[in-house]
Amino acid sequence: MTFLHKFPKAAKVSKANFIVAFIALGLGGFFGFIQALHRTGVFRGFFNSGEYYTLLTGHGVLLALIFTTFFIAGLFVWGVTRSLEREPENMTFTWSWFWIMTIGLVMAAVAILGGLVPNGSIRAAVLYTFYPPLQAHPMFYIGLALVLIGSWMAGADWFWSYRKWREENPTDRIPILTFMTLFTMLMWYVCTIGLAIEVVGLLIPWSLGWVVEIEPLLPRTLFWFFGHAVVYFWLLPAYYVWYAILPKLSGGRLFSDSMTRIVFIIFLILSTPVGYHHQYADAGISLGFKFYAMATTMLLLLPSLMTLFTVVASMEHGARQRGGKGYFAWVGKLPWDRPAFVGCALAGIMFAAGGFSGMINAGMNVNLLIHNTLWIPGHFHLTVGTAVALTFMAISYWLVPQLTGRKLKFKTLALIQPYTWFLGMTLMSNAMHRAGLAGVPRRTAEPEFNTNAMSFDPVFGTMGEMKWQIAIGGTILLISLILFLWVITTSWLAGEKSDKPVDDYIPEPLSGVEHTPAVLDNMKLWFALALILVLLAYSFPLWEMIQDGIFEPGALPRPS
Amino acid sequence: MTNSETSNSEEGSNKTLVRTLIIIGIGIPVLVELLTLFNLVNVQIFNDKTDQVQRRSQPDQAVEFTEGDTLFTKSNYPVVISGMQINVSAQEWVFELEFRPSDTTMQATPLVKVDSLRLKNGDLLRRGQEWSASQSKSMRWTLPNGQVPVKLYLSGKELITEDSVRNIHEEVPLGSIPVRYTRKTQR
Amino acid sequence: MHIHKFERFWIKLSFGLIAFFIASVIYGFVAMDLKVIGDYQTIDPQNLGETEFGTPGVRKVTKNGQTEYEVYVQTIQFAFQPGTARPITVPANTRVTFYITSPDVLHGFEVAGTNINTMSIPGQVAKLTTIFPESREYGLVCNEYCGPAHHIMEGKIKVVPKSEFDKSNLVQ
Repeated sequence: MTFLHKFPKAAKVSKANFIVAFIALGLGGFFGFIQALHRTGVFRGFFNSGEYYTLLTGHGVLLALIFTTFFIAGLFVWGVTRSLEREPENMTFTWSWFWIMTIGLVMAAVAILGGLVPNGSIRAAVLYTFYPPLQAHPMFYIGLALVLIGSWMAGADWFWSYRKWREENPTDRIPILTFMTLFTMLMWYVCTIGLAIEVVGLLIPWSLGWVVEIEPLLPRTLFWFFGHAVVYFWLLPAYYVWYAILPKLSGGRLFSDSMTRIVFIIFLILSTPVGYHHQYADAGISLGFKFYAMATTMLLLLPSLMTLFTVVASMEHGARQRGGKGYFAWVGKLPWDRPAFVGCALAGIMFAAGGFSGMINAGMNVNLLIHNTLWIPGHFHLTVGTAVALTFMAISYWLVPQLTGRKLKFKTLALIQPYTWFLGMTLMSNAMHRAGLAGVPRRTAEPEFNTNAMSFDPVFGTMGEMKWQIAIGGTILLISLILFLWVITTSWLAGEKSDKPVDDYIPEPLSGVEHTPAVLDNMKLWFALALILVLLAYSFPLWEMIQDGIFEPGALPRPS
Repeated sequence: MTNSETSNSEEGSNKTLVRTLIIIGIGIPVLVELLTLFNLVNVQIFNDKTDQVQRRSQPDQAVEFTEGDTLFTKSNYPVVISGMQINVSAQEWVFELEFRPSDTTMQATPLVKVDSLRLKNGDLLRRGQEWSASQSKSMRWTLPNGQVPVKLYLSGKELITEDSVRNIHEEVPLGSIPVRYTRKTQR
Repeated sequence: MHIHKFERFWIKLSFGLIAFFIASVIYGFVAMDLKVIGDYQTIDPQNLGETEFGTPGVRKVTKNGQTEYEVYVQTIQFAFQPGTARPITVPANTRVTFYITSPDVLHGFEVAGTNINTMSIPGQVAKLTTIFPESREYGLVCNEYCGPAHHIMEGKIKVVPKSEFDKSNLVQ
């Protein structure tokens, strides 16, 4: 008996979400490959430089917003159903959020890809941050709003399951998988307030022409209200995997239940009031608030460092169960031949590296050296592009068999995949960071100076060598992506049917829930605290921006 | 505790594979990062600025033509680039070029022609436009989105006698062309 | 609640690291005079012509008996004015204050390889002051996506020795 057989309805929902997620991953990843070749100038024959921004928008939206959201939905359906041992309460409701999200995604995708139609009027080359006054087709914003609404309903679905479970189990502690899901969704509710106000309140009326002018700083600020917390919305499900499943994959158990809960609570509280750290270089937000955001950002180091400790401790425990000895020699006893483990472990290592470049970004004044340079994509390809994406891919090798009741095919290819991703990403991201230090901007089709006989001065190395490193890294990543999609597709369609396609047992934590203080499960308390911190950070600056009129000082729209 | 899905016969080849993967997949990344660290520290400690300053000395800038410059200066029918701009909208990129006769244009008859445009990506846009050097002329090309012209190929046709024509060809490397947003194609 | 002693130690270490990072930023502010912009000064982006931005360029001002320069820059789709058609020319070892805004969409104003880097947001005026220590040319990059020809938007800052600075090009 595996998940499919115990909870066939939930398995179907999970699978539907994963299919959408993997299609988005394939398409978005392919766009990324084209960009790696185009912006380095290695090959510019796929599309011309004007269309580059359409592809870039597609890459960002499909991967950062669609792949992540759908995968997370599938993962959480699996986790909530499994840990509460109940199917979703009402399948009509469950499927309605899935279809609302899917319709939204299709609308956004059509608006974006419309930019590749010559002389087409439907365009959305506004990148995934869609800063006005650059304007996309209304369909783009409405699509995004639908995805958002669908994700809210998905969260409500899980809370609904929890409520029903609570009625039947009034004294039990919240199971850890459900706990992590609910706290991630609470954080999502807090941070998407900003996005909802921006998209529904400002951008949709404006793109439909109901209002003409827009104040650029206000939607930008609202975007970043959401825009950093969304990073944790991607990351927390990866943490969820690292806490709940990785210890098992390495042969051990979770180190501490209470620490896990504390980490998720800290993320709920601190994730949103950090948004200004994306706006250090903006005029119009006072230094004090930028400093407050910086201090909060730095404090967010704490739960990540705690995670590092817990994950490493859990893995060490696993390795020792497998016969590992010594201070460091135990690392060799970890299952480096299991794709799911290898992917998660390598993703974790890369997250540590990404964390350090993130510290540079967070430092208010150091940040200006690398603000909006290629350093930034270099950084987030380590965090979301690897820590999150590689974890999701790796855990698919373990989850998809449970959802389909089929064994994994091509295990050797599956094993090669995470190693190639790690290699490709190191090459690409390393060069991107270095190019960023030389001032090479991000988000541009042709980063070289065109006419003024100027050039960027790298600290060391040459621009040419960095370009090739990025292009080669991007190519290896594409190969890795194809391997992943091949393994998953073939296993999904033609894997050997089995009652127990993987070992899906998850052992209890070393320091179990009986040691966990009850206050940690008080969702109302932590949610309220999160809202208070958000109010402290945002109420005054937003008030300052709107007191001269919500749309003032107004700028006219520019079609993208 | 641990489940053993792999059978013993697979184990041997699997070990070699894992070893190779670790050497390539983790070894190379570690090497790349160590090299970067070494270079960064190296630059910080033995900062040889002189090398950098030398490298910054500009390469000899080729003569580039922009708005206001005169072409065919050696002939007796010079023309002036009186306007040059790229108008960009979401849908199309249009290169607009305007010539006017120079104050010193003597002859009224010669014909001047823009033979083709060389784009930054190396492509050639052919579409000849011919006009009399004594008049003003404006012309436009629709460029592939994102492309910028870098060179103009012109030819001048000068009637020497009734039946003999002298052809002059001129390559005109273009300097920075103003690129502006236009709302024109927007309804 | 049970917290393992190694974990306690680790958490303390983490707090130390966090304190160190925040301290390093404060050190940058105080000791190295690294500034971050933050003033809230709005402007009507559709009527820049009536302000100093209407005649963008380098101006000479006298502050506390010292000669300083102010540079008003408009970032437009797809050029720096000044900066693209003509380089922004300023003298070395002199205080230069940039005022930057945009009449159309968001742009970036980045002096490549330095920490002079700001967003140019319609409706907001970014103000930043610097002293260029050596005479050389700097590349100017728009580092925020601003439309289909974003990659063409670039410019140049030319820093010349004080003695060679030509004041005839100043804007009044």
